[in-house]
Amino acid sequence: MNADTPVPMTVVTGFLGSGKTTLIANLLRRPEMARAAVIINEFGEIGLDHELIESSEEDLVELSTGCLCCVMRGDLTNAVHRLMEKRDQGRPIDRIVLETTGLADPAPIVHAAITDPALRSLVNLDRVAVTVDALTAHASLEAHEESRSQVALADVLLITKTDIDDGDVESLLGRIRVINPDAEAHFPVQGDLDPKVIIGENTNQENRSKDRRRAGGVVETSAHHHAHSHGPDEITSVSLRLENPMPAVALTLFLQALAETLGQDLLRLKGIVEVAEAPDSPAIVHGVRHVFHPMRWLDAWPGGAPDSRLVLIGRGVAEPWIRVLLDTIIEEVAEASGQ
Amino acid sequence: MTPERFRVLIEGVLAVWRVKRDLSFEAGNCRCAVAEGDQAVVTISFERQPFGGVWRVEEPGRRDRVHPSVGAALKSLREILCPDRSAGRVLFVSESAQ
Repeated sequence: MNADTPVPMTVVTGFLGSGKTTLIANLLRRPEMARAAVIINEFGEIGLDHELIESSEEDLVELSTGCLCCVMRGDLTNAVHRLMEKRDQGRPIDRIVLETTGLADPAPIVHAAITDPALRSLVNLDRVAVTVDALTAHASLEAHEESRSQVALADVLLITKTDIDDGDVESLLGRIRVINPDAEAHFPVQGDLDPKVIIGENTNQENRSKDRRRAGGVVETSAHHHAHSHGPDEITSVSLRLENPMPAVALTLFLQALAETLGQDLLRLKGIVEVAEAPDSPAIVHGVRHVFHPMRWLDAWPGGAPDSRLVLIGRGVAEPWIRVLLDTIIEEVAEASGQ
Repeated sequence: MTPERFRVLIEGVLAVWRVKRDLSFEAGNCRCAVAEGDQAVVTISFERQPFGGVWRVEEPGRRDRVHPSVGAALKSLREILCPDRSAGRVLFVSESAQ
Protein backbone atom coordinates (compact mmCIF):
# COMPACT_ATOMS: atom_id res chain seq x y z
CA MET A 1 0.00 0.00 0.00
CA ASN A 2 1.29 3.41 -1.01
CA ALA A 3 2.24 5.59 1.97
CA ASP A 4 -0.15 8.29 0.74
CA THR A 5 -3.07 5.93 0.28
CA PRO A 6 -5.76 6.24 2.96
CA VAL A 7 -5.87 3.14 5.10
CA PRO A 8 -9.16 1.25 5.29
CA MET A 9 -10.76 1.67 8.70
CA THR A 10 -13.33 -0.67 10.15
CA VAL A 11 -15.42 0.67 13.00
CA VAL A 12 -16.40 -1.91 15.60
CA THR A 13 -19.08 -0.70 17.92
CA GLY A 14 -21.76 -2.25 20.07
CA PHE A 15 -23.35 -1.74 23.44
CA LEU A 16 -21.53 -2.29 26.72
CA GLY A 17 -20.49 -5.89 27.19
CA SER A 18 -21.63 -7.07 23.81
CA GLY A 19 -18.32 -8.64 22.86
CA LYS A 20 -16.39 -6.02 20.89
CA THR A 21 -13.08 -6.67 22.57
CA THR A 22 -13.45 -10.45 22.39
CA LEU A 23 -14.19 -10.12 18.71
CA ILE A 24 -11.19 -7.91 17.98
CA ALA A 25 -8.88 -10.05 20.08
CA ASN A 26 -9.86 -13.07 18.01
CA LEU A 27 -9.64 -11.24 14.72
CA LEU A 28 -6.12 -10.10 15.45
CA ARG A 29 -5.00 -13.70 15.73
CA ARG A 30 -5.97 -14.32 12.13
CA PRO A 31 -3.20 -14.08 9.53
CA GLU A 32 -5.37 -11.82 7.36
CA MET A 33 -5.26 -9.25 10.14
CA ALA A 34 -1.53 -9.46 10.77
CA ARG A 35 -1.05 -5.93 9.51
CA ALA A 36 -4.03 -4.41 11.26
CA ALA A 37 -3.61 -1.69 13.84
CA VAL A 38 -6.17 -1.05 16.53
CA ILE A 39 -7.48 2.13 18.09
CA ILE A 40 -9.36 1.55 21.29
CA ASN A 41 -11.53 4.21 22.79
CA GLU A 42 -11.74 3.58 26.51
CA PHE A 43 -14.36 5.43 28.48
CA GLY A 44 -13.00 6.73 31.74
CA GLU A 45 -9.55 7.36 33.03
CA ILE A 46 -8.61 3.75 33.55
CA GLY A 47 -8.81 1.69 30.44
CA LEU A 48 -9.03 -2.06 30.50
CA ASP A 49 -10.02 -3.14 27.04
CA HIS A 50 -6.55 -2.70 25.60
CA GLU A 51 -5.21 -5.10 28.22
CA LEU A 52 -7.45 -7.78 26.81
CA ILE A 53 -6.13 -7.51 23.30
CA GLU A 54 -2.87 -9.16 22.55
CA SER A 55 -1.18 -6.74 20.28
CA SER A 56 2.23 -5.21 20.07
CA GLU A 57 2.51 -1.72 21.42
CA GLU A 58 3.26 -0.45 17.94
CA ASP A 59 -0.07 -1.63 16.62
CA LEU A 60 -2.34 -0.30 19.29
CA VAL A 61 -3.37 3.17 20.30
CA GLU A 62 -5.54 3.78 23.29
CA LEU A 63 -7.74 6.82 23.63
CA SER A 64 -8.81 7.46 27.19
CA THR A 65 -9.95 11.02 26.96
CA GLY A 66 -13.63 10.29 26.93
CA CYS A 67 -16.21 8.92 24.62
CA LEU A 68 -14.96 9.13 21.08
CA CYS A 69 -18.22 10.35 19.69
CA CYS A 70 -18.15 13.34 22.03
CA VAL A 71 -14.58 14.59 21.86
CA MET A 72 -13.42 12.74 18.88
CA ARG A 73 -12.20 14.38 15.77
CA GLY A 74 -8.93 15.75 17.05
CA ASP A 75 -8.13 12.76 19.19
CA LEU A 76 -8.98 10.27 16.49
CA THR A 77 -7.01 12.17 13.89
CA ASN A 78 -4.03 12.31 16.25
CA ALA A 79 -4.30 8.60 16.95
CA VAL A 80 -4.38 7.76 13.26
CA HIS A 81 -1.44 10.11 12.71
CA ARG A 82 0.56 8.23 15.32
CA LEU A 83 -0.16 4.97 13.56
CA MET A 84 0.77 6.43 10.20
CA GLU A 85 4.06 7.66 11.61
CA LYS A 86 4.78 4.11 12.68
CA ARG A 87 3.88 2.94 9.20
CA ASP A 88 6.25 5.47 7.72
CA GLN A 89 8.95 4.13 10.00
CA GLY A 90 8.51 0.71 8.48
CA ARG A 91 5.74 -0.86 10.52
CA PRO A 92 3.40 -2.56 8.01
CA ILE A 93 -0.14 -1.34 8.59
CA ASP A 94 -2.79 -2.08 5.98
CA ARG A 95 -5.93 -1.64 8.09
CA ILE A 96 -7.17 0.14 11.17
CA VAL A 97 -9.79 -1.31 13.45
CA LEU A 98 -11.44 1.32 15.62
CA GLU A 99 -13.22 0.03 18.70
CA THR A 100 -15.58 2.58 20.21
CA THR A 101 -16.88 2.65 23.73
CA GLY A 102 -20.12 0.83 24.32
CA LEU A 103 -21.82 4.15 24.92
CA ALA A 104 -20.78 5.73 21.67
CA ASP A 105 -23.22 6.87 19.06
CA PRO A 106 -21.24 5.91 15.95
CA ALA A 107 -22.92 8.52 13.75
CA PRO A 108 -20.49 11.36 14.58
CA ILE A 109 -17.56 9.00 14.06
CA VAL A 110 -18.84 7.85 10.69
CA HIS A 111 -19.69 11.42 9.81
CA ALA A 112 -16.19 12.61 10.66
CA ALA A 113 -14.55 9.78 8.76
CA ILE A 114 -16.43 10.87 5.66
CA THR A 115 -16.26 14.63 6.00
CA ASP A 116 -13.25 15.65 8.07
CA PRO A 117 -10.51 16.55 5.57
CA ALA A 118 -7.66 15.63 7.91
CA LEU A 119 -9.18 12.29 8.76
CA ARG A 120 -10.21 11.51 5.19
CA SER A 121 -6.69 12.00 3.98
CA LEU A 122 -5.59 9.27 6.36
CA VAL A 123 -8.38 6.72 6.46
CA ASN A 124 -11.01 5.35 4.16
CA LEU A 125 -14.07 4.27 6.09
CA ASP A 126 -14.82 0.62 5.43
CA ARG A 127 -17.49 -1.27 7.29
CA VAL A 128 -19.30 -0.44 10.48
CA ALA A 129 -19.58 -3.70 12.42
CA VAL A 130 -21.89 -3.75 15.41
CA THR A 131 -21.92 -6.41 18.10
CA VAL A 132 -25.34 -7.16 19.55
CA ASP A 133 -25.60 -9.18 22.75
CA ALA A 134 -28.33 -11.76 22.20
CA LEU A 135 -28.93 -11.96 25.93
CA THR A 136 -29.34 -8.29 26.73
CA ALA A 137 -30.00 -6.47 23.48
CA HIS A 138 -33.75 -6.25 23.94
CA ALA A 139 -33.26 -4.25 27.12
CA SER A 140 -30.45 -2.15 25.66
CA LEU A 141 -32.49 -1.29 22.59
CA GLU A 142 -35.41 -0.40 24.77
CA ALA A 143 -33.53 1.84 27.15
CA HIS A 144 -30.61 3.34 25.28
CA GLU A 145 -30.67 5.59 22.26
CA GLU A 146 -26.99 4.81 21.66
CA SER A 147 -27.79 1.14 21.25
CA ARG A 148 -30.47 1.89 18.67
CA SER A 149 -28.16 4.26 16.84
CA GLN A 150 -25.43 1.62 16.73
CA VAL A 151 -27.79 -0.91 15.17
CA ALA A 152 -29.14 1.69 12.77
CA LEU A 153 -25.71 2.48 11.36
CA ALA A 154 -24.43 -1.08 11.05
CA ASP A 155 -23.25 -2.54 7.79
CA VAL A 156 -22.67 -5.80 9.60
CA LEU A 157 -24.52 -7.01 12.67
CA LEU A 158 -22.69 -9.53 14.82
CA ILE A 159 -25.13 -11.27 17.13
CA THR A 160 -23.05 -12.55 20.02
CA LYS A 161 -23.61 -15.04 22.84
CA THR A 162 -26.06 -17.16 20.88
CA ASP A 163 -24.01 -20.10 22.14
CA ILE A 164 -25.24 -19.28 25.65
CA ASP A 165 -28.89 -18.92 24.76
CA ASP A 166 -30.33 -18.38 21.31
CA GLY A 167 -33.93 -18.86 22.39
CA ASP A 168 -34.95 -15.31 21.61
CA VAL A 169 -32.73 -14.59 18.63
CA GLU A 170 -35.51 -14.61 16.09
CA SER A 171 -37.52 -12.04 17.96
CA LEU A 172 -34.35 -10.00 18.46
CA LEU A 173 -33.64 -10.13 14.74
CA GLY A 174 -37.17 -9.07 14.01
CA ARG A 175 -36.76 -6.09 16.27
CA ILE A 176 -33.37 -5.21 14.80
CA ARG A 177 -34.75 -5.45 11.30
CA VAL A 178 -37.28 -2.76 12.10
CA ILE A 179 -34.33 -0.45 12.76
CA ASN A 180 -31.98 -1.72 10.08
CA PRO A 181 -33.40 -4.08 7.48
CA ASP A 182 -30.38 -4.16 5.27
CA ALA A 183 -27.32 -5.03 7.32
CA GLU A 184 -25.79 -8.47 7.10
CA ALA A 185 -26.21 -10.56 10.22
CA HIS A 186 -23.65 -13.05 11.50
CA PHE A 187 -23.51 -15.11 14.64
CA PRO A 188 -19.92 -15.37 15.85
CA VAL A 189 -19.30 -17.61 18.82
CA GLN A 190 -16.64 -16.47 21.26
CA GLY A 191 -15.50 -13.85 18.77
CA ASP A 192 -14.76 -16.38 16.07
CA LEU A 193 -15.41 -14.57 12.79
CA ASP A 194 -14.02 -14.65 9.27
CA PRO A 195 -12.19 -11.29 8.90
CA LYS A 196 -13.68 -10.90 5.43
CA VAL A 197 -16.99 -10.12 7.09
CA ILE A 198 -15.68 -6.87 8.49
CA ILE A 199 -13.31 -5.87 5.73
CA GLY A 200 -15.83 -5.48 2.97
CA GLU A 201 -14.74 -8.32 0.75
CA ASN A 202 -17.75 -10.50 1.29
CA THR A 203 -20.99 -10.03 -0.59
CA ASN A 204 -22.72 -12.36 1.84
CA GLN A 205 -25.84 -12.96 -0.14
CA GLU A 206 -25.88 -16.40 1.33
CA ASN A 207 -25.67 -15.03 4.84
CA ARG A 208 -28.42 -12.55 4.19
CA SER A 209 -30.65 -15.31 2.99
CA LYS A 210 -29.81 -17.38 6.03
CA ASP A 211 -30.47 -14.42 8.25
CA ARG A 212 -33.85 -13.85 6.68
CA ARG A 213 -34.73 -17.45 7.20
CA ARG A 214 -33.72 -17.25 10.84
CA ALA A 215 -35.93 -14.25 11.33
CA GLY A 216 -38.87 -16.28 10.19
CA GLY A 217 -39.93 -13.85 7.52
CA VAL A 218 -40.36 -11.01 9.96
CA VAL A 219 -37.51 -9.06 8.45
CA GLU A 220 -37.38 -6.15 6.09
CA THR A 221 -40.81 -6.12 4.59
CA SER A 222 -42.34 -2.71 4.39
CA ALA A 223 -45.65 -4.18 5.46
CA HIS A 224 -44.08 -4.96 8.80
CA HIS A 225 -43.44 -1.29 9.38
CA HIS A 226 -46.98 -0.42 8.46
CA ALA A 227 -48.30 -2.73 11.08
CA HIS A 228 -46.76 -0.81 13.95
CA SER A 229 -47.32 2.62 15.30
CA HIS A 230 -43.92 4.14 15.88
CA GLY A 231 -43.42 7.30 17.84
CA PRO A 232 -41.41 10.14 16.35
CA ASP A 233 -38.43 9.36 18.61
CA GLU A 234 -38.16 5.74 17.62
CA ILE A 235 -35.50 4.73 15.10
CA THR A 236 -37.17 2.88 12.28
CA SER A 237 -36.48 2.13 8.66
CA VAL A 238 -38.37 2.40 5.44
CA SER A 239 -37.69 0.41 2.30
CA LEU A 240 -38.94 1.98 -0.91
CA ARG A 241 -39.07 0.11 -4.18
CA LEU A 242 -39.12 2.25 -7.29
CA GLU A 243 -41.07 0.87 -10.19
CA ASN A 244 -39.78 3.25 -12.85
CA PRO A 245 -36.47 4.88 -13.72
CA MET A 246 -35.99 8.07 -11.75
CA PRO A 247 -34.72 11.31 -13.26
CA ALA A 248 -31.44 12.33 -11.63
CA VAL A 249 -32.83 15.72 -10.68
CA ALA A 250 -35.79 14.10 -8.93
CA LEU A 251 -33.45 11.90 -6.93
CA THR A 252 -31.40 14.93 -5.88
CA LEU A 253 -34.52 16.91 -4.94
CA PHE A 254 -35.80 13.96 -2.93
CA LEU A 255 -32.57 13.73 -0.97
CA GLN A 256 -32.68 17.45 -0.32
CA ALA A 257 -36.29 17.30 0.81
CA LEU A 258 -35.51 14.44 3.17
CA ALA A 259 -32.57 16.29 4.66
CA GLU A 260 -34.64 19.45 5.00
CA THR A 261 -37.60 17.67 6.55
CA LEU A 262 -35.88 15.12 8.74
CA GLY A 263 -32.77 17.08 9.71
CA GLN A 264 -30.86 15.25 12.42
CA ASP A 265 -33.53 12.55 12.44
CA LEU A 266 -32.22 11.16 9.16
CA LEU A 267 -29.51 8.71 10.19
CA ARG A 268 -28.76 6.84 7.04
CA LEU A 269 -29.91 6.40 3.47
CA LYS A 270 -28.64 3.83 1.04
CA GLY A 271 -29.92 2.40 -2.14
CA ILE A 272 -29.50 1.29 -5.70
CA VAL A 273 -31.44 3.31 -8.25
CA GLU A 274 -32.20 3.13 -11.93
CA VAL A 275 -31.55 6.68 -13.04
CA ALA A 276 -33.50 7.61 -16.17
CA GLU A 277 -30.53 9.23 -17.83
CA ALA A 278 -28.37 6.12 -17.43
CA PRO A 279 -30.70 3.12 -17.40
CA ASP A 280 -27.99 0.55 -17.95
CA SER A 281 -25.83 1.71 -15.07
CA PRO A 282 -27.44 1.39 -11.67
CA ALA A 283 -26.48 4.15 -9.28
CA ILE A 284 -25.43 3.44 -5.72
CA VAL A 285 -26.64 6.07 -3.27
CA HIS A 286 -25.04 6.20 0.14
CA GLY A 287 -25.40 8.81 2.83
CA VAL A 288 -24.91 9.19 6.55
CA ARG A 289 -27.15 11.86 7.94
CA HIS A 290 -27.03 14.71 5.44
CA VAL A 291 -23.68 13.78 3.95
CA PHE A 292 -23.74 11.80 0.73
CA HIS A 293 -21.07 10.41 -1.51
CA PRO A 294 -21.56 11.21 -5.15
CA MET A 295 -23.42 8.41 -6.80
CA ARG A 296 -21.30 5.44 -7.78
CA TRP A 297 -22.26 3.70 -11.00
CA LEU A 298 -22.25 -0.03 -11.52
CA ASP A 299 -21.69 -1.65 -14.90
CA ALA A 300 -24.78 -3.79 -14.59
CA TRP A 301 -27.62 -4.70 -12.26
CA PRO A 302 -26.79 -7.30 -9.65
CA GLY A 303 -29.14 -10.12 -10.55
CA GLY A 304 -29.58 -8.93 -14.10
CA ALA A 305 -32.85 -7.00 -13.98
CA PRO A 306 -33.37 -3.46 -12.65
CA ASP A 307 -34.54 -3.46 -9.06
CA SER A 308 -34.42 0.07 -7.69
CA ARG A 309 -34.77 0.48 -3.96
CA LEU A 310 -33.94 2.94 -1.25
CA VAL A 311 -33.60 2.24 2.44
CA LEU A 312 -33.94 5.08 4.93
CA ILE A 313 -33.12 4.78 8.60
CA GLY A 314 -34.03 7.47 11.05
CA ARG A 315 -36.30 8.73 13.77
CA GLY A 316 -39.91 9.05 12.80
CA VAL A 317 -39.49 7.81 9.26
CA ALA A 318 -42.61 6.09 7.99
CA GLU A 319 -43.33 4.88 4.52
CA PRO A 320 -46.65 6.56 3.74
CA TRP A 321 -45.57 10.19 3.87
CA ILE A 322 -42.11 9.51 2.48
CA ARG A 323 -43.64 7.65 -0.45
CA VAL A 324 -46.01 10.57 -1.09
CA LEU A 325 -43.09 13.01 -0.90
CA LEU A 326 -41.13 10.94 -3.42
CA ASP A 327 -44.04 10.53 -5.81
CA THR A 328 -44.89 14.22 -5.62
CA ILE A 329 -41.33 15.23 -6.46
CA ILE A 330 -41.24 12.81 -9.38
CA GLU A 331 -44.52 14.27 -10.66
CA GLU A 332 -43.26 17.83 -10.28
CA VAL A 333 -40.08 17.04 -12.20
CA ALA A 334 -42.05 15.31 -14.95
CA GLU A 335 -44.40 18.27 -15.19
CA ALA A 336 -41.55 20.79 -15.28
CA SER A 337 -39.87 18.86 -18.06
CA GLY A 338 -43.09 18.71 -20.07
CA GLN A 339 -43.64 14.97 -19.76
CA MET B 1 -51.81 15.31 -5.70
CA THR B 2 -55.04 14.07 -4.20
CA PRO B 3 -56.63 15.14 -0.92
CA GLU B 4 -55.81 11.72 0.52
CA ARG B 5 -52.12 11.92 -0.36
CA PHE B 6 -52.00 15.53 0.78
CA ARG B 7 -53.29 14.50 4.18
CA VAL B 8 -50.79 11.63 4.51
CA LEU B 9 -47.94 13.99 3.67
CA ILE B 10 -48.92 16.79 6.04
CA GLU B 11 -49.77 14.50 8.94
CA GLY B 12 -46.53 12.55 8.47
CA VAL B 13 -44.32 15.59 8.30
CA LEU B 14 -45.92 17.26 11.31
CA ALA B 15 -45.49 14.05 13.31
CA VAL B 16 -41.78 13.98 12.46
CA TRP B 17 -41.53 17.58 13.58
CA ARG B 18 -43.31 16.73 16.84
CA VAL B 19 -45.86 19.46 16.08
CA LYS B 20 -48.91 18.90 18.24
CA ARG B 21 -51.52 21.30 16.92
CA ASP B 22 -55.07 20.95 15.68
CA LEU B 23 -55.27 20.01 12.01
CA SER B 24 -58.37 20.66 9.89
CA PHE B 25 -58.39 19.18 6.41
CA GLU B 26 -60.88 20.63 3.95
CA ALA B 27 -63.00 17.85 2.47
CA GLY B 28 -62.31 17.17 -1.19
CA ASN B 29 -59.46 19.68 -1.36
CA CYS B 30 -55.75 19.74 -0.66
CA ARG B 31 -55.96 22.27 2.12
CA CYS B 32 -55.08 22.04 5.81
CA ALA B 33 -55.42 24.60 8.56
CA VAL B 34 -53.11 24.29 11.54
CA ALA B 35 -54.45 25.87 14.71
CA GLU B 36 -53.61 26.26 18.36
CA GLY B 37 -56.98 26.09 20.05
CA ASP B 38 -59.13 28.57 18.14
CA GLN B 39 -56.12 30.54 16.97
CA ALA B 40 -55.12 29.87 13.33
CA VAL B 41 -51.37 29.37 13.00
CA VAL B 42 -50.89 28.55 9.35
CA THR B 43 -52.73 27.09 6.38
CA ILE B 44 -51.07 25.04 3.68
CA SER B 45 -52.71 24.13 0.42
CA PHE B 46 -52.01 22.70 -2.99
CA GLU B 47 -53.96 23.69 -6.08
CA ARG B 48 -53.57 23.05 -9.73
CA GLN B 49 -53.24 26.08 -11.98
CA PRO B 50 -53.00 26.19 -15.80
CA PHE B 51 -49.24 26.56 -15.52
CA GLY B 52 -48.77 23.77 -12.99
CA GLY B 53 -49.14 22.91 -9.34
CA VAL B 54 -48.96 25.64 -6.72
CA TRP B 55 -48.28 25.24 -3.01
CA ARG B 56 -49.47 28.08 -0.83
CA VAL B 57 -48.51 28.69 2.79
CA GLU B 58 -50.68 31.29 4.52
CA GLU B 59 -49.74 32.78 7.86
CA PRO B 60 -52.12 35.27 9.49
CA GLY B 61 -50.83 38.81 9.13
CA ARG B 62 -48.16 37.83 6.63
CA ARG B 63 -48.00 37.78 2.87
CA ASP B 64 -48.76 34.34 1.44
CA ARG B 65 -45.79 32.25 0.44
CA VAL B 66 -46.32 30.58 -2.93
CA HIS B 67 -44.10 27.72 -4.05
CA PRO B 68 -43.86 25.59 -7.17
CA SER B 69 -42.49 22.56 -5.32
CA VAL B 70 -43.37 20.44 -2.32
CA GLY B 71 -39.84 20.75 -0.95
CA ALA B 72 -40.01 24.54 -0.79
CA ALA B 73 -43.52 24.44 0.70
CA LEU B 74 -42.45 22.12 3.50
CA LYS B 75 -39.48 24.37 4.22
CA SER B 76 -41.83 27.34 4.63
CA LEU B 77 -44.10 25.30 6.85
CA ARG B 78 -41.21 24.21 9.06
CA GLU B 79 -39.96 27.76 9.42
CA ILE B 80 -43.37 28.79 10.75
CA LEU B 81 -44.24 25.79 12.90
CA CYS B 82 -40.85 24.87 14.32
CA PRO B 83 -38.31 27.56 13.50
CA ASP B 84 -35.82 26.21 16.03
CA ARG B 85 -35.69 22.78 14.46
CA SER B 86 -32.45 22.35 12.58
CA ALA B 87 -32.81 21.43 8.94
CA GLY B 88 -30.34 19.28 7.12
CA ARG B 89 -28.74 20.26 3.88
CA VAL B 90 -27.46 17.61 1.52
CA LEU B 91 -23.73 17.75 1.21
CA PHE B 92 -22.06 15.66 -1.44
CA VAL B 93 -18.55 14.65 -0.47
CA SER B 94 -16.28 13.60 -3.28
CA GLU B 95 -14.52 10.31 -2.77
CA SER B 96 -11.81 11.49 -5.13
CA ALA B 97 -10.86 14.07 -2.53
CA GLN B 98 -9.89 11.33 -0.13
